[in-house]
Amino acid sequence: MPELTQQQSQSEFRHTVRNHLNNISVHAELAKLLASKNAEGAAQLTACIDKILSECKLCAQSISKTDSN
Amino acid sequence: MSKVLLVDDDSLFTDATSELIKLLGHTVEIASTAQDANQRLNNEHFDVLMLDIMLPDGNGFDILHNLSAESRPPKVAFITGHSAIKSMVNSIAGPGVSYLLKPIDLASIEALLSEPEDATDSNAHFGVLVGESPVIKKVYNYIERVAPTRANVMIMGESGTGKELVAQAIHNASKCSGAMVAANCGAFSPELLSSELFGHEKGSFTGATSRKIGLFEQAKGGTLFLDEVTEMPIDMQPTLLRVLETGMLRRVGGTEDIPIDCRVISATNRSRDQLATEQCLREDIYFRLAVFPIDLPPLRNRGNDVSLLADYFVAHFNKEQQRNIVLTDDVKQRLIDYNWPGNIRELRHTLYRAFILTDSTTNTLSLPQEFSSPFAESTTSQNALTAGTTIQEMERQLITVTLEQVDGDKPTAAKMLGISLKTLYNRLNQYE
Repeated sequence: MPELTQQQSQSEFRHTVRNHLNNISVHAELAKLLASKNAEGAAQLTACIDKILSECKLCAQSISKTDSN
Repeated sequence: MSKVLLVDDDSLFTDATSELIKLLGHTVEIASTAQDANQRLNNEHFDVLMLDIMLPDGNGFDILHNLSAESRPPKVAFITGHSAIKSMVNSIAGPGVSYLLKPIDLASIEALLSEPEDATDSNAHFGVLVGESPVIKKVYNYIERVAPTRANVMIMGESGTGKELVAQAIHNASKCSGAMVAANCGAFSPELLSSELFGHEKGSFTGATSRKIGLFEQAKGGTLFLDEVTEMPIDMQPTLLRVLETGMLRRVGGTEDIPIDCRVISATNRSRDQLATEQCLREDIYFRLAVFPIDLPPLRNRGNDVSLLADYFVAHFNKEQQRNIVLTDDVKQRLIDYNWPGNIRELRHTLYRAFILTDSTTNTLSLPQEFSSPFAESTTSQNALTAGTTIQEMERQLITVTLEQVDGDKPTAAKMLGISLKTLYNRLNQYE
């Protein structure tokens, strides 16, 4: 994650974090889809990735709550 | 399958998302700037446009503005981190434009890409079937009844009647979580078919360099469609029977039993009589596969469906070729009068050829003087007179076919046959 300076506004910070979360999310979805095509051990891996995706969403929701501030 | 243009300057995002889109069965191109996107849109047509709002050399709304002149504008979805953007998008771009909210998940991409492309498909029954004749309505009724169950279905019908579409309709109506996976049992050697259906372990035979997951496993939670099931080698059928009976399979070269979780829909173009006489399918496997058999009527028994299907196909060609060709009543009547031995496949082929040949200066589809397939003679002879058939037998077949066409409506059937209703009842009583 790039280092953030104090000059960056909160808005820019949220934008940056959202993009990182989005990249985590789509890569996790890709891994999940690839795992599902190779059934061996896929269930455990899928459950783990689901948790990552769920945390991404919660993180994004938390950031969105600060939008109005 | 949709052709997608993904416009975003974040290569990490576009690389992963394009892979996701490809794995979902679509094609995708990436543009990292507004200029690049505009160039691609000028040169080719895309079905779906996924747009970042902020781009290095402009914004997504500018690209949207340039699209307005297109006769077939793509479906557009803005990529945004703010849910509040929806109202802004609607006010600027109109209600037809959607948005994908970051972090983007697979479900939202699937939903965007799987929406019906146009009203033509949404008018089709179960999203795929066209027709309103009594005989096809009976098939719709069967589909509705069997879809919520897990019963295996066998679809029987002549070549070109749309058996795979009926399988797709059952799959769509069942609203199951998995995909529909199809295999043509006549297209593989016995060894290869085993590997395709059940998978194999690494090193199980020469050339098995890695583990392969078979179609039964790929169809988990969904539907496995076995086309031309009667072409499956007879000595392989006991293996399939065992899988269907136990609900477990073993990969080729494997030692572990793996549970299967899918409905099996099979199809054959052989008649019930042929199944019995030609012994191409073991009796025990027939009863496993044909828990719920569906007979698909040939097009010649579907009356005005020929006209509805013709409208459907021509609308599809018009959209594809950006033309506005229409079918006149005379053309439709000629289509209805022909007996279509190659069924819907032949109808589509004939219309497509006529569509290509139609002069660009006219908007009316012109049919060739004659349209007959090279297979017409051999196919029709199967349904026509055969030396040695008794008159009584021919009469019985004629009455049966007529009753099927009018969905059992005896007064109408009697009228079509040119006999009194009483005579029809007398004949039916004789056959019982």
